[in-house]
Amino acid sequence: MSVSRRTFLGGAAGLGALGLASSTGLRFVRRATASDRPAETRYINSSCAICTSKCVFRGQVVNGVIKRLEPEPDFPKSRGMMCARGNAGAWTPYDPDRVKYPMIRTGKRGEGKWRKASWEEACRYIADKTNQVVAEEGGNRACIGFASSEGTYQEHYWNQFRMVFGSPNSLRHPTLCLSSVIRGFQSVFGTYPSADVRNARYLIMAGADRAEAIFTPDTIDIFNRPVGSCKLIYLDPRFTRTAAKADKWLPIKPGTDMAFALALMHVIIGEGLHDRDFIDKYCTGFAELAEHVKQYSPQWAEAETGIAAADIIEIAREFATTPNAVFYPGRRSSWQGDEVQTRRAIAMVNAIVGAFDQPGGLIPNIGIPLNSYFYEPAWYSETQPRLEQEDVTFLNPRDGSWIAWRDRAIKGDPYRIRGLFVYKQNVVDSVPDRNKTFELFDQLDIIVCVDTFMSDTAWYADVILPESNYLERFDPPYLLSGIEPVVVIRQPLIDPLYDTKPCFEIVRELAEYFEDEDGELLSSYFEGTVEEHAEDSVSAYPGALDQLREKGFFTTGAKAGYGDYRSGKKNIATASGKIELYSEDLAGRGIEPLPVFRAPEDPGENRFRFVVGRHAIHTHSMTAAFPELNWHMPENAVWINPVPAAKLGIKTGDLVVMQNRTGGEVKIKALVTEGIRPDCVFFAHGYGSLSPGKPLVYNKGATQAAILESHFEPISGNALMHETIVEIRRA
Amino acid sequence: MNSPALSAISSPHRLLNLAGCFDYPLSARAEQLRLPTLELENTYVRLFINSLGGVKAPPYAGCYLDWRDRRQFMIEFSGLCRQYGIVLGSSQPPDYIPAMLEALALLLDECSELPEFYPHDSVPVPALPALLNNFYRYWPEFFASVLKEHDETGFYAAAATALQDTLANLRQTTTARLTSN
Repeated sequence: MSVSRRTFLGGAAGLGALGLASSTGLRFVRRATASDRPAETRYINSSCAICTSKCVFRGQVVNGVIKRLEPEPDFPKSRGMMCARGNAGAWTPYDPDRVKYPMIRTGKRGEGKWRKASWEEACRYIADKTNQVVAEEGGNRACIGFASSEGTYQEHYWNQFRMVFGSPNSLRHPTLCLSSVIRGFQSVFGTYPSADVRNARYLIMAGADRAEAIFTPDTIDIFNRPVGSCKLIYLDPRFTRTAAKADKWLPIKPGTDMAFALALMHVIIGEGLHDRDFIDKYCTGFAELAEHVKQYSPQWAEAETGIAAADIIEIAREFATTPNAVFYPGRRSSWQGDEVQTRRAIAMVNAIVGAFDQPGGLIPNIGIPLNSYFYEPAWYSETQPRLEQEDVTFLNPRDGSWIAWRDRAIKGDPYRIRGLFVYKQNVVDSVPDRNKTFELFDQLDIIVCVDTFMSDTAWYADVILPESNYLERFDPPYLLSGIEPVVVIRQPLIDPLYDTKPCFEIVRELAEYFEDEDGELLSSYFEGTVEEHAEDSVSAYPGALDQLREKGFFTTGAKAGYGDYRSGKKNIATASGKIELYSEDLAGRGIEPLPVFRAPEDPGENRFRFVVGRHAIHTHSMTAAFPELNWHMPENAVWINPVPAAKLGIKTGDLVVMQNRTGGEVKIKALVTEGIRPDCVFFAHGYGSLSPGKPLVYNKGATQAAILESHFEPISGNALMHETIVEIRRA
Repeated sequence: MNSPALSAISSPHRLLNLAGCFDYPLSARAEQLRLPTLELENTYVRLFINSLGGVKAPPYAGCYLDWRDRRQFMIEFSGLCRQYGIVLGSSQPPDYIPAMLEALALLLDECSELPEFYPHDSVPVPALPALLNNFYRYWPEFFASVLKEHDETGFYAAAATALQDTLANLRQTTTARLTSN
């Protein structure tokens, strides 16, 4: 039946038939009472959720509406800075396309047919489906995978649900990000340290695009450095914004950072510029390293990296002779197949000049000990190992290895995966090779997504549970460890809009519909409230919670000192108690104990290596649909060098087709620029959304997940984002 | 008790009815429209909650006012409501159209009440045209227009058109009455 204006006004469907009594009372407004606040402006401190930095802000709330987020000047990490992404977050609660209610899919996956559901109905639906498939798998609870991501301070509740449910299959973001850099540095220093950028006088950065991949204190320190105070050498196949601010940009051939680091060591050791005292006292395996790097001359490295031997020699000499020099560890390291060994080589460059535990060098992070959240574990008589247990040498049981796990899940090896519960991770858009992700999805009986936005993953879910926005939630204290550790908190600027809940309430409610093998409701494992957990977390520090509520952060004033390891006050956390240049541990596991360079595959004629990277105003796929940010960049484009572009007849603005070697294909506009090497291409992440629920980026540009091939390295399990070779032609 | 001058122009009853038209559809509404409930639910979600290419007809007035900052619009509207003793619920943004209709219904009703019965400022009758112009203008046309384009049932489009007419009449009548006084 179609309703016209006439039939509406007078007919059965419209005003004539509604009647006031049934549905037209006041549901959304009420008369004020004396206790209601008049028009007002309030400030509430909380911490950001738009990137990993978690900067604390003062939220200005006018008449109950978030007007803007101002930087908290006393917060030590951001020091009065609030970036574009953080500012744009003020809009997120009011996004008309945010996930507002529990919804159950009624059409095919991805078709976009939904009905609104109550929380009870949605939870029961999830439980019925999940319990059914677990029963079909003979009670194997490992057949349900759980994915989650950082950013929320409630992820531990999600993990708790997984644990008491009884699945080992947890997938987090580190193997799409930095697990190889952590593993590489840990194998040398026993820890993944920070670079003391503020006090550095010479800084080498390889692909750490700090102007765009913001890590707040480092970004500020790099760009606030007084002229002449710190020389920045920047290596990247692209002319990024960091390159623009560097003293020297070296457009290195992708995949050859290790060759550069090995050649630096060749020069430093060959010319006797290494720190002998430091090496003698604190390092092992120097003789093996010195012998090993003899083969890696600057002339050899020039051919591999594309960086002139003279530049390599000059940088090596400057680096070794400038006090307070540091080779920045990087953060994301999901690049090439030898990523762990590349990071080890970078760590060793630092070690041989003594750039450790001293001003301007690598400083092991410290924390502020908080009381851990405690819950009773659930015990199951029969358990399964993680799916990809055998595929990765150093598999973090909580992080897993996304690519390896997905490959196993698709094959059902060694057991089937029947469901995936996803909390705030855009699996479809974040894990390389989207086709494979959909292949997995096609095999799943139940996909549940908890999110604040209709991500591509949410769009393909069976049930969506809406989480309250970070500006509507109270999140417990969260430690940001580092050189200056600080504890941050989130508190609501406004009440939760729509029918949304914080993660703790979601998992506790969901747990009402599940039992452990003794018939105990899983909800019995969830005790207390988030506020009580918060109070307990900082109970060792009188007044800390008050300060957190007032300022949004808390610090004991502790700072990582210099010389703690050199003096023996702290121990280097390797097996030998020394910085391990030669790794007996790796050798014992059948892994090369010293970094051995292998040239990356040549893409071949008219083919290109696809490189990934960040954009200054975006955080992965999360922010491209923020209107204030999208306005600056409504669509992404593939960067291509003018020389190959001319050969292929491609001009800026042309629509091109990119194809990888495994069937991945995207269409995207071209940007012809000398800001990229001729042998590679790049486009920014976050666009080309499949989810119509993100209209600003739906079908606009392309997503990296569709073109990236599926590779991982087996030491840390990290996905490899620079192992994709593509062809390009005009569409 | 409504004053004679305003009784003829105020339409709180009608506004509340119109607000109710944008409720999530139950089976009774589907029966009235002779549609399967699930189909009507799908349509509702597509129009107002989440949809292909974005929500087709976001039920938030500020989304249709490209030339105004939506958050500033909400701040000003929320402030005005507070000034006149109306509290907007916190489960929806202040520019949620059904909430705005309920607020207007209440404001129109408040116009006629004696101040001593109400602790907050009453809406001064001369302020009505400004209120309608500032907060209830332009978006109704756009809202009706997108619903005409995307609502296959016709019900929501008809409701939005009726809403557009009601607000236009209200604005016109209010202005005319006040001018003649």
